[in-house]
Amino acid sequence: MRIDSYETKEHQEYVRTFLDGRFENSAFCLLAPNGQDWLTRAGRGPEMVLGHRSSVIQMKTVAAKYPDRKSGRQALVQDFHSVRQALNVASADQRVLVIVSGPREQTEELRSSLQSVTNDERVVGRFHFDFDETEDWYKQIKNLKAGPSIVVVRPSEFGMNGTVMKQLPLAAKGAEIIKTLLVANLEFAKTTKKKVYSSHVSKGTKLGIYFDSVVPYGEDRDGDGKIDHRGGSPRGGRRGDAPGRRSSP
Amino acid sequence: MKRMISMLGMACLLFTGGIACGQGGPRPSDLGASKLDPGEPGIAWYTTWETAQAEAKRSGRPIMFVAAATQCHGVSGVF
Repeated sequence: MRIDSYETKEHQEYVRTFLDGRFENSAFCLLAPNGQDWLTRAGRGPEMVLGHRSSVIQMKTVAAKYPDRKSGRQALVQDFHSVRQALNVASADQRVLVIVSGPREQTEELRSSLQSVTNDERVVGRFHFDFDETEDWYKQIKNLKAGPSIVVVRPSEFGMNGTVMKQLPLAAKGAEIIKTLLVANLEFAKTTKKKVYSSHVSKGTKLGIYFDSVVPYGEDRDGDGKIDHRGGSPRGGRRGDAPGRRSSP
Repeated sequence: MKRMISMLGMACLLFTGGIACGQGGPRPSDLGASKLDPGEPGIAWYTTWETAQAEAKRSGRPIMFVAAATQCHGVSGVF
């Protein structure tokens, strides 16, 4: 799983849980399937926790201890807390975004029926998926026809908005959805320039792009509960603990 | 399992260049190009704690927990 450290206060608290009360931009830890037991210590990233050279080997070792119990074909469908965040992440990952839009009673069934789509080997890892029952985000999407539907969206360069590539009814069949997604992905790939993040940030700064956050940007590296001023004093000592039972969120 | 292992490998590759910047992280100039071309498959992330935990419980597979910023100095479209 990958969450935005700054998306909500709750996420900030998750990060603090893994970093001994500190809040930093990033956190990494391997957890047992119960979501509670730590399988590694925690740190800012996999290389800090597992080492530069052995990260993949160690993760393979952990994975091997947990063989699949259920089919990957029935893996749950991804979701976001908001379309705003989904657009931002889809832009960052340079993927087409699929929004299942409509009242909960009409879209809930798609959380299971879409599994055959999202777990199709031609689809998995190529798109982001989001369910949303509000209309708050309509103004962020160009060429959108209001109403319940499956909206295939090209995220803009900075993910502040998007454009409809295709819109399907909620009742669309899986094969039709897959076909539509594959066509959209091909078009997206052909017409999207690969991001170079340094120039992306530089361009965004010049254009005045600013993504507001619920949580103030910055880190609390001394763990006093307040965001440090830039260059604030990092606290030494342990960075997460050894594996064991912890109170993860 | 094979799929998960390959995803874990991909995670490491992505994570080395994909962390958003900030006080203790890389500077914007350190961030290179995306590891993947647009349209190429990457990790099928879960992006809420609730869905990730539900899937881990369903599948019995461990969770690779990653938290990062989706902006760099406020500029969105970076993860």
